[in-house]
Amino acid sequence: MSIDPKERETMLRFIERNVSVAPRDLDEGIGTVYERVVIDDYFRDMQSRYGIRTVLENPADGVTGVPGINSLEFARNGGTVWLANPSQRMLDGARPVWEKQKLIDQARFTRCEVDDTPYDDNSFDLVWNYCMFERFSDPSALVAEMKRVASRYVLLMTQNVYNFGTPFHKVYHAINDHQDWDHGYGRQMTLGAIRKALRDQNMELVEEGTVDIPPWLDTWDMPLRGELKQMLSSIGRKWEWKMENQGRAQNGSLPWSVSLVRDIEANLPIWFRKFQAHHLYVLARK
Amino acid sequence: MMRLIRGTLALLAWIIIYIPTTLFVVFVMVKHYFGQRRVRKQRKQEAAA
Repeated sequence: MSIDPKERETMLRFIERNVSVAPRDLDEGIGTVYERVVIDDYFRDMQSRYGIRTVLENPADGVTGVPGINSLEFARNGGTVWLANPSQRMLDGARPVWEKQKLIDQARFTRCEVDDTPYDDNSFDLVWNYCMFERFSDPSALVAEMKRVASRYVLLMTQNVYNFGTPFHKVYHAINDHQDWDHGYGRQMTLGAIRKALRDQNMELVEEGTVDIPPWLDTWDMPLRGELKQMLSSIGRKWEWKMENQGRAQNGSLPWSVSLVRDIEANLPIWFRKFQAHHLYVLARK
Repeated sequence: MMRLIRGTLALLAWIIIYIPTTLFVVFVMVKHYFGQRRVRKQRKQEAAA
């Protein structure tokens, strides 16, 4: 039960590449803003239902290259968050994001390997990660470490291999100078694989679901922002989706376009959600 | 019954938006492909020179 050194290296390379292309103005694009809105809805609800106060994201990731952004919602609702990652660059990139949100007092940053964290057993109410589980052909060492440091819950959230965006993104990698595929294993991007990994650690499955089902392909980390910006600027319009002015925390309202897509998603049939969701998750109890 | 109607309408709205957004992604990919090809060609020419 150990992590393949090659997979460890691929994950690190992916994280560091994303940090290097992170939009410095935190202009994430509508896809990311929407994703955060719906995932934050779930987190807020889960955090209050299960009384979660301490959270570890291991390994912590970002979205569209903005590092450390995923766990902000837990801190907004009063939780304390630990971000663990083997990349110091990622952690250094995450700090200003938390400072900008004025939540730095509720964050702790630790550089460590994903399967060898420095925390004591049963340290956190929730231990989770986002699109990291599928990076390992045998994720048991990662999940076992997550279980060890969790006092109650472990949450795994992955990409969805069935989304039509998956083959598109493979083509994108192929035409992009045959860039190595660095998103992990398709077979791990299913609810069945996540359930199995958690059951193998003798954990009890609490809930599972699909999230982020907007009417566009999951473009993964394909840079579309620049294209849209360029196209709209040629007709004198601006395309900007910054976390600080599109987030809901400040005034409680959402842009109309985000509200519309969220309403559509909320009413989609279950059979459709399962193969068009951008993300899948399973929450398990220790 | 209401659930079925709501689900069908949501699905319809989803598909209506999905088609143009997917076409946009295809457009970007094609553009990206030709951009890459041009760069490769340029590099090849530079290397030959």
